Amino acid sequence: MSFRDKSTKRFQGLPASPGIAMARALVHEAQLPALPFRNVEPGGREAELARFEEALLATGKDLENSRSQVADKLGEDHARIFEAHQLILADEVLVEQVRGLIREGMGAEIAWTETCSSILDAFRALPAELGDRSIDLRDVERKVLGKLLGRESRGFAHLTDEVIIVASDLAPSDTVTMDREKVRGFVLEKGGPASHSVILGRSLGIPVVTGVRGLMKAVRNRDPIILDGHSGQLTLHPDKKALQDFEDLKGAYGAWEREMLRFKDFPAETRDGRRIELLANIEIPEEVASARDHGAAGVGLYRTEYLFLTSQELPSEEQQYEAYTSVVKSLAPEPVILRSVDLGGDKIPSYLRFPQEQNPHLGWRGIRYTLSMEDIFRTQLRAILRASEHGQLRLMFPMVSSVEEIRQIKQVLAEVREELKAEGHYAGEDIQIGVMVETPAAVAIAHLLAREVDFLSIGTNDLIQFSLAIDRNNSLVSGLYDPFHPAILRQIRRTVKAGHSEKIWVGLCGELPEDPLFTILLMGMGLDEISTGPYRIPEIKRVIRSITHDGARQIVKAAWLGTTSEEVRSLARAEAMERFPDLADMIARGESA
Amino acid sequence: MVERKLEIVNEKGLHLRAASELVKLTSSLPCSVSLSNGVIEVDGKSILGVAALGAPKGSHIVVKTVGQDEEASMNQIDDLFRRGFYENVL
Repeated sequence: MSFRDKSTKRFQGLPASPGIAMARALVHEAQLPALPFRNVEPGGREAELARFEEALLATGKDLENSRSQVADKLGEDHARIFEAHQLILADEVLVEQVRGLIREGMGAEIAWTETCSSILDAFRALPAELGDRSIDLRDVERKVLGKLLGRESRGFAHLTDEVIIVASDLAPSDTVTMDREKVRGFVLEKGGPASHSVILGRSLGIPVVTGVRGLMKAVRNRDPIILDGHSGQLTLHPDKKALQDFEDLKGAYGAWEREMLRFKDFPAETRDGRRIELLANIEIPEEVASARDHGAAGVGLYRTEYLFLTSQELPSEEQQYEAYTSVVKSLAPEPVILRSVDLGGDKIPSYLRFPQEQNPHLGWRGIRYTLSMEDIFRTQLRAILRASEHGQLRLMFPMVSSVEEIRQIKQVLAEVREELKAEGHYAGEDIQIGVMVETPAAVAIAHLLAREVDFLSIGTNDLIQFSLAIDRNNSLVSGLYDPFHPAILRQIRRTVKAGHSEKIWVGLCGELPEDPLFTILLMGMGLDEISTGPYRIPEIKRVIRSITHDGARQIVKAAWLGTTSEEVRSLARAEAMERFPDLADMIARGESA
Repeated sequence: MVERKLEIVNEKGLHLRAASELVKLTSSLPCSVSLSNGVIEVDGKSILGVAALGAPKGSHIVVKTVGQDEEASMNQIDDLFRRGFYENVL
């Protein structure tokens, strides 16, 4: 019996999806364990073979279960992942090779992994455009090995207790069968803010914390943990005090959420009658319900990457058309602002090969990628334009930094429309077209871009990162990431003015800071539309409904005198407390966040 | 033995999903099937073998069928190649 230290330990990660939860850990082992090399004596080889056959059968049974479950829940199309896995498992060439090695006296585990590795080596030499097959084989390899070792990862399908999933990172195939009722949170050792589990966590409204160093070493299955998605803190083996703190925090969050939800069904309108569009950011069609439940008046940023990141190959025009149509239709007549796919950076589907780039975030991504991969772009545009028939779809493009780019986009759009019309399809000729303003260059030429489009949408996540030259995921500098930086406020105001002087509307999308002062400043700067995570909508609505547009403008004026972020904040705070004392509780909360 | 040189006509080439369709067919055939891209020859009933051919659109594969119903089987395989492994249907 080994003795394990059960004292309370705290770990700090990056908060990725808000909420707080306490449950036992379910550790997901994605890494293959180290295998002992083992020679089997001639007398034991038949039994070793039988053990291998049994593992194959058991894995096959699991795959069939997963396949039919996913087919029932999500449709046959999603279940095809498992079909390929079943064929791999039934591959006689593969299986015979393993049997041969076992007959020669090799242990089943080693025989299996050696054979898989030799095939993986062969796959690595293949051309990239045929897709990466190694992932599928590695998945099957892991499953069979789990059976052989009797320590398979149980998957997340049939959970009896509530759990918090602890993993190095999670792949879409890990979560597709997940029992959504029982999973209370995700905590990851790796995983960036754009990773699959973060997106899923936000859509389910459960806490997610990423980038927790030393996590996999410290946590074992069934260890009790508390996960705080607001602060990014993980508490392992909570003591009495930690449990009390959890109860207090949970009560406070719950009360706060209920209080905020009271505002969800009112319009986002100031006391003096300035109404803006307050919309939700979403990644997958399933999030529409959450957007609506939180009182969003539509979708202000539909990130289409998810569809590309979760499939095994490029999604077809029909698959895309279906996904976009379902979102547009279910929200009609409310608007849906769809962003063309923003691949590259940390969003690289397994079936596309990207070159190793020194600075991927400054590299081949966003509109640069789609304009150079015209087939992908055209297929998506066709699906989008066709889907626009079913509601109010607007279309915008990521990472545009020059007028040439938007002209080139419009050229491709015009060609695609002609093509669609010739085929008798709907061609979405009067949908609004916009660009995202997320590079300093786009801000500087915002008035020139504005002449080419129907709207501008400021993407704060990237704009702040690029303007301040700060990588949010780099803990050495992430503390300097500051939306209140005077440079950021000036860029936002400049963009709004540029758009308005060209008579087009200007919106903003991104993760808004929890500080209500930021919302007040945005209102004062004249934004026409704001889009953020669904869970943030009620509180932002409350801020907007508590202020006057005129008062917000005066607060901007006061804050403008600030020479540092801190001065900006304190000037805005003083002015806001005087004008809108109703917001004192939110402002105080914002400060502590 | 029947031998035929077949062209990959679908956009995505012989990727995993196309390979799945092919192996689903070949596994149901009574004869043996082998595929060659000129460099390697693989068992046509092995999905990993077929996937390892790495055959993009426009490339040619030499298919051999040996044994019972080899002619009829070849015709079925030929047909699947021509239909692009149902790429546009699925």
